[in-house]
Amino acid sequence: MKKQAVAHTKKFDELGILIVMIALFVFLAIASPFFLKVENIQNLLLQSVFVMLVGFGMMFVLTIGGIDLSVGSILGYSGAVTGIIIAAGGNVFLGILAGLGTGAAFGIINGLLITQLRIAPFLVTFAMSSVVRGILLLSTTNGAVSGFAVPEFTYLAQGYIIGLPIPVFITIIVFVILLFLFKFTSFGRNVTAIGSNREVAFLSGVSCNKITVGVYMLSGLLAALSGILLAARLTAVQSEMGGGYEMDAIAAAVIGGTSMAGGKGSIIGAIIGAVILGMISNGLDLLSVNQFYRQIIVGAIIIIAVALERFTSLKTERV
Amino acid sequence: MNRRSVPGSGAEIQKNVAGFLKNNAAMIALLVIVLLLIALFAPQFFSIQNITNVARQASTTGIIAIGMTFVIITGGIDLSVGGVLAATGIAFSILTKFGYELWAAVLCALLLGAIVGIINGFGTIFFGIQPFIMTLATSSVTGGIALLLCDGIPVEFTTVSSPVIDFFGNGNVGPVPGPFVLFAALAVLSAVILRYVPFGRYVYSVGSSFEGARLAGVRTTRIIMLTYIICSICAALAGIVTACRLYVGHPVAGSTAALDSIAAIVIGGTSLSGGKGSVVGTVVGVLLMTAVANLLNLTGVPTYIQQIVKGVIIILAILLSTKGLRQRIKEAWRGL
Repeated sequence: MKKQAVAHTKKFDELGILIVMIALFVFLAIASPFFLKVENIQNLLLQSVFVMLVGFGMMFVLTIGGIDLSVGSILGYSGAVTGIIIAAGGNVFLGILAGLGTGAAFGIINGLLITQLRIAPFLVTFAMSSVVRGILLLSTTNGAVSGFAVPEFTYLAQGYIIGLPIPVFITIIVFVILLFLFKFTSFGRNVTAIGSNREVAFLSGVSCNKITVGVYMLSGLLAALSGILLAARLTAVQSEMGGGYEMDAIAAAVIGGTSMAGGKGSIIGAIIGAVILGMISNGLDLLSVNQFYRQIIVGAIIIIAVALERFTSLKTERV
Repeated sequence: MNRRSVPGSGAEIQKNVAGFLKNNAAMIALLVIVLLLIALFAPQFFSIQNITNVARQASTTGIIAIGMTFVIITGGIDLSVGGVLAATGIAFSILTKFGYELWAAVLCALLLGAIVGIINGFGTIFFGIQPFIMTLATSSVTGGIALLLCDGIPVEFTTVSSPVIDFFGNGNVGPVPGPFVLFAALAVLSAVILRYVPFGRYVYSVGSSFEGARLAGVRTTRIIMLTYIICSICAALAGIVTACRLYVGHPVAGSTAALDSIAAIVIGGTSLSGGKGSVVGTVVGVLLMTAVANLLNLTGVPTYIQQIVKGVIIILAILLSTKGLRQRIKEAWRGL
């Protein structure tokens, strides 16, 4: 799998999964008259961006050959930090900055534990997820964090810029920055290089440890951004906020063609993956499917999407 | 005494024991630390009743972890065990409730597990889907099936009385709980298979180099398929045991089973990248995690602290069990 990485970069890898997304879109448009309404599309995008932001970070982490299971807890706690500061009368800007800093700090700790003590990323981040969730529980012992719904803050989630909800707008900006970072900077190329073969990257003079810490910091930062936007939308932070986001984010990245073995990642793929997940849940809502069937359908669609993607990518390789 | 040891002699055994102690020094140290902590803060831990309780709690995670050890040694992972546990537990409960023979209910539950294992293996081998995603998806599917089978309501079968259900739920052999007997039997069986049976050796060879094993004539796809089936059947056994314990099949039982068992396995020294690991390590990992959880419960530590402590313990366990720790810390210090 790792050897294919070089051949892959030349083609438009995301074609297979894009076809799956369009097929799903067409199916939902035909099956439900409400699907194509502007409000529903806006809602669909808004639902998808929270996972998408976390998925972007996860894409970097998976591409470098790691995994980050702590993003769900970091998402929840960063949202809580921002909420607590604003609720205590602090500046909104300061609160957001503190939230982002919290996420980045946990990311750096993850990165340092992984690179300096060389513990498996799965364990470090699993343990970190437990620790951060504990801290979040500690700060919500008196009930959910709330009382931070000042208009300047909730505007982040409820406002619109040129017809787009602000979280969607922010996600687009983040996407452009990350796309540039991943495709056109040495940092992005080094991430792929380390993921394909760490030893070779190291011997070619890539400072693997710095890049790895940077990637985990990015993952924490993006989880925090998602958490802050989610806090602005929900106007309260429960102790369970962000639970399960790590799995959704991994699923979004991998559906989009990012390899869990490292060395191959796609930001556009992560977007498509997150939108597919969002469309599945939105579509099941619209078609009012029995909620017990829902899990089965979500699982089946993930398998079909990834299998289709595998088949199409195998075909393009042979040509 | 002669320096060369004769096989089977006292010196040889001594050497083996010394080697074992040396290899697992960190693990043993950690166990001692935990036991000391327990003796200091919760001496009531050592009552027979409590130890029996810990053994019972460890059994479910342990049974799952043993199956998962096979999958992880081949370099795979199985996140669907929680869903399989719930679905098979429900299937077993429903069949028992409606008066089917016990063996039929058990067989059906195990069969259901085996089918999920086959699907997992099929997806990873023939569609080339990464195990993490494949089993994440089947975990969602099996969780849904569990909810669907019982319409979201836990299935009670308290009207049925059977000595076998009693034994695997709440029964004891002397001070040893019934499920623990099953756990121990599975552990011994798996240890023997992994060490002395060709299949076990192939499992290691596939994990350390898939391509190498294939070129050496190992039927790699068959081995991988079998490991997923073993893992799912173990999860099904755990599902049955969980249902027997309260005479209830619960649709959301086992939601933390996958990550808990994986953590225990890795604490036991099995590498997530495959090719390395042992059942003994897994058993120690499971017992350690359960003992710590029990200690925290006995001392009345609040849930949020328990979460934090659990995380710290995992990191500590890994730090202690990795070789050359002092060297690494020195390097890290210099790096700063």
